[in-house]
Amino acid sequence: MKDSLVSKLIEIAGKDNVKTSIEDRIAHSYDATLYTQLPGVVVSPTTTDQVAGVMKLAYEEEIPVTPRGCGTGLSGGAVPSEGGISLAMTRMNKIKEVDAENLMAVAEPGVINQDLDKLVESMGLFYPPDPLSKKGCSMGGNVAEGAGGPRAFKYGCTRQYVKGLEVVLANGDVLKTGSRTVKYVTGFDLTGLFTASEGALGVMTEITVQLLPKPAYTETMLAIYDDVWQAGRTVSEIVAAGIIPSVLEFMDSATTKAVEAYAKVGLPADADAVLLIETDGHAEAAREDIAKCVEICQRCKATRVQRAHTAEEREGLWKARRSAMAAITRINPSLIQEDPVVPRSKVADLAKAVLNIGERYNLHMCSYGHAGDGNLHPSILTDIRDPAAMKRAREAVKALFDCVLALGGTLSGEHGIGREKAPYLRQEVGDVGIATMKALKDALDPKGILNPGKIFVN
Amino acid sequence: MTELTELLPVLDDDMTKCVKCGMCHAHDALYLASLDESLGTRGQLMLLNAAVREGAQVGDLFTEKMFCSLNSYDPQTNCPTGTPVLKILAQVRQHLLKTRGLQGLADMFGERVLAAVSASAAARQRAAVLAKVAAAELPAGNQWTDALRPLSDAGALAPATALELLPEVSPAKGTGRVAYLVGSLTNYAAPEIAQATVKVLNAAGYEVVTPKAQKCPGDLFVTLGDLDTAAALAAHNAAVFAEFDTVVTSCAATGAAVKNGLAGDDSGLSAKVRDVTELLAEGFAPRARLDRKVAYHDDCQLRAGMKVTKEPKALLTAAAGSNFVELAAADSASGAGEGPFSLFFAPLAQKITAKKVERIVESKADVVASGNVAAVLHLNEALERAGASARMKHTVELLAEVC
Repeated sequence: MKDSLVSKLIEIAGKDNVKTSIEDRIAHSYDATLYTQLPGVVVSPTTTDQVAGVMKLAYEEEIPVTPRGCGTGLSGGAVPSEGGISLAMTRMNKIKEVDAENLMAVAEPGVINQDLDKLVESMGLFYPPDPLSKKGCSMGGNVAEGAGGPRAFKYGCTRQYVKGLEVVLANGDVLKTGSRTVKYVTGFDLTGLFTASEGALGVMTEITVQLLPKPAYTETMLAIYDDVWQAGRTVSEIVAAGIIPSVLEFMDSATTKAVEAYAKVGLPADADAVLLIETDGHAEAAREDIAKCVEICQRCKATRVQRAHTAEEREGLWKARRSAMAAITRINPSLIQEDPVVPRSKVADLAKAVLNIGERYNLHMCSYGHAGDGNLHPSILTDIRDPAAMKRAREAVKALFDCVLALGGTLSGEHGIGREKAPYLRQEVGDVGIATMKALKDALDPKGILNPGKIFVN
Repeated sequence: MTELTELLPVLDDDMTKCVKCGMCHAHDALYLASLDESLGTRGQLMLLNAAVREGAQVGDLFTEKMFCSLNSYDPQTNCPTGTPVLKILAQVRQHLLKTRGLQGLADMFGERVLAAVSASAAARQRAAVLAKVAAAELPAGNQWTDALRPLSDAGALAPATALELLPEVSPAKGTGRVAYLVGSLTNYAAPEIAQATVKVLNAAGYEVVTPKAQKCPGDLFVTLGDLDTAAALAAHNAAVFAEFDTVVTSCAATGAAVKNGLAGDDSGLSAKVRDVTELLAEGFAPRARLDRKVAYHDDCQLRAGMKVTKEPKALLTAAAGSNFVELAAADSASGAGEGPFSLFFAPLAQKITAKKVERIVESKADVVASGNVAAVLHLNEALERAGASARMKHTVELLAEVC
């Protein structure tokens, strides 16, 4: 980056917040995907004014800007543009307000999801979106990618909770959207537009989210199947029975095998699927619901059903699911993980298809995830050092998305499109869908400086 | 500029284990204090990746970032994919030291260490121990010897070392027999902790043998990137302790380094090492009650490095009864760091330490126990300087009061 531009950035954001060394640029060249690209400069603003100043300069000079939270994303969204500005939002990390009366919290984008949840939990409230990376991911990243998590089946994803935003637009203008009121139809839904916009429409500098009263009671159970179709049937029957579990997690046979080899939690070697189910709410209701779930699992020929009676037992049942990532990366070190969603009734079809694609492309593949909302994480375990395997992995990803779309599903439930899924977007949304999205993008970012190379194929 | 590509065969498999998920950050005190990805564990690994795999040329700043580490076990222990960060960093430092000498580290030994040393008595003490151990163990002509020599008079060490004070054999009435690995910081700066360790072990029925021939366990040299010296010391101690089944430590950093085999092959010493509280949990009964409010700092070297967390807390609760108070975020870092961190990176260390001091004051404890000697000395001075009334003690010092 030109010295004159760096000087201007230092004038705007301060010397400590602007870094140009190769070491600092390398440390901002990646997220949790396999993509890397070197930014020209790293700017870590601490105020909205600084962000506005940076955007104004970037707009005048037409420098690409990629906002970045904690870099835990799985779509390549935070991977910067070659030579551009990596706008690291981690230092804007204040929880500005918790309004218990109106069930609202106001946070800067660098606040860690878990830190917010812990704070409001101490006040008897909770912030439902709970990505499995919650201890390390930022609220800004969550909103930018539309993060979900196990609780999404009952409580929904980030989108449902964002009530207002402060956004710095491409030209440096500062926009405030939304309202703290329960109802809000004043003009276009700009909050909704910027949520999950992947840093391509503006830079969030303040987030207002809705909170809920913390459920009083949680019940947990685990069911093991020797036939994945029966696990799929269980999901459909639970929903048909009018029960809405707070968690309905799934692991396929390959994941279960890896988990057992790694964590030795006592899962049978021949298990074809595992479901982890939680119900919450008032004690009586949660107990009644879990009892019905047990009954349905048994009717659907679960080979084993375990219910947790103590906090330790609950942790024990969760251990299998929590170990999934650690376990599968022991098979092969490099992980490509997707987040497609299919109609709930097709979860077993998707799980089967993932294993078939793995066989077809001679790759270790498995899936686990949120069966309740049809959102699985098909995972390819490969080795970045093996070019032939990486080529097959890319082909397998394409085959996977073909299959997801054929099942009536969608590319992404909670990670965003980013770079990873950009090549497949048109296949799902069509020419008119792309044109409409591009029209919005062009209107808000006419010079195309915000996170270029993402969502749309150049 | 230096090339690191020749490290690829050594580090390839270990480095590939990092999937960049970023979950280490939540357990990385240095990242949390700086919010600087390049100082976090993932950032360090990615810098390394660029240098080792892609041939990026590295200079002084890279070297600094490879040495800028608390050497905490937390990021590594909480890594979902099991990336052995500490081992990787030790190997990189060794390579940097061999190929670049102290180039890039000179600044740390110049103004920064002097600034740290002039500002803090605890820093002076640690600097002096570092210099003392280096002078004792490093071969003539080693590059560290000259760099560390000016520090040897930095701070006051104990008039007599622990190894001078303790008898070779301290008998007890019970049947157990253990050997005691003292550790350098305890030996030179805190022999009273060694004496308390022997006293409580005796009270619990263990005969304690403290071999005079033992040397520094080598952990300091691992953090300095001198793995050859560390390995030589590990081999020496392995021979000294060969006849014993159980080797007890009271310095968590020492114990963790040995237990995790960071210093190299120690012929099974790593499998025999246990923290003193692990042994006390089986036979120690307090005869009186601690009459002041006691809290516990759950140091990462003991908790994550040695996987010991319940025992010391249970012992302290038994000894203090209702006088035991909880310390918020008891497992947060002290800022002491293992090795010379708090000397090299005093401003960051102080930031981490200030938070800890604040929590100790909030707990209203009169005394806070810890199993990590560096944390005890470091926090004690920080508390004093902050004008707080609370003081640090090693867990065994408190237990020794009631045995």
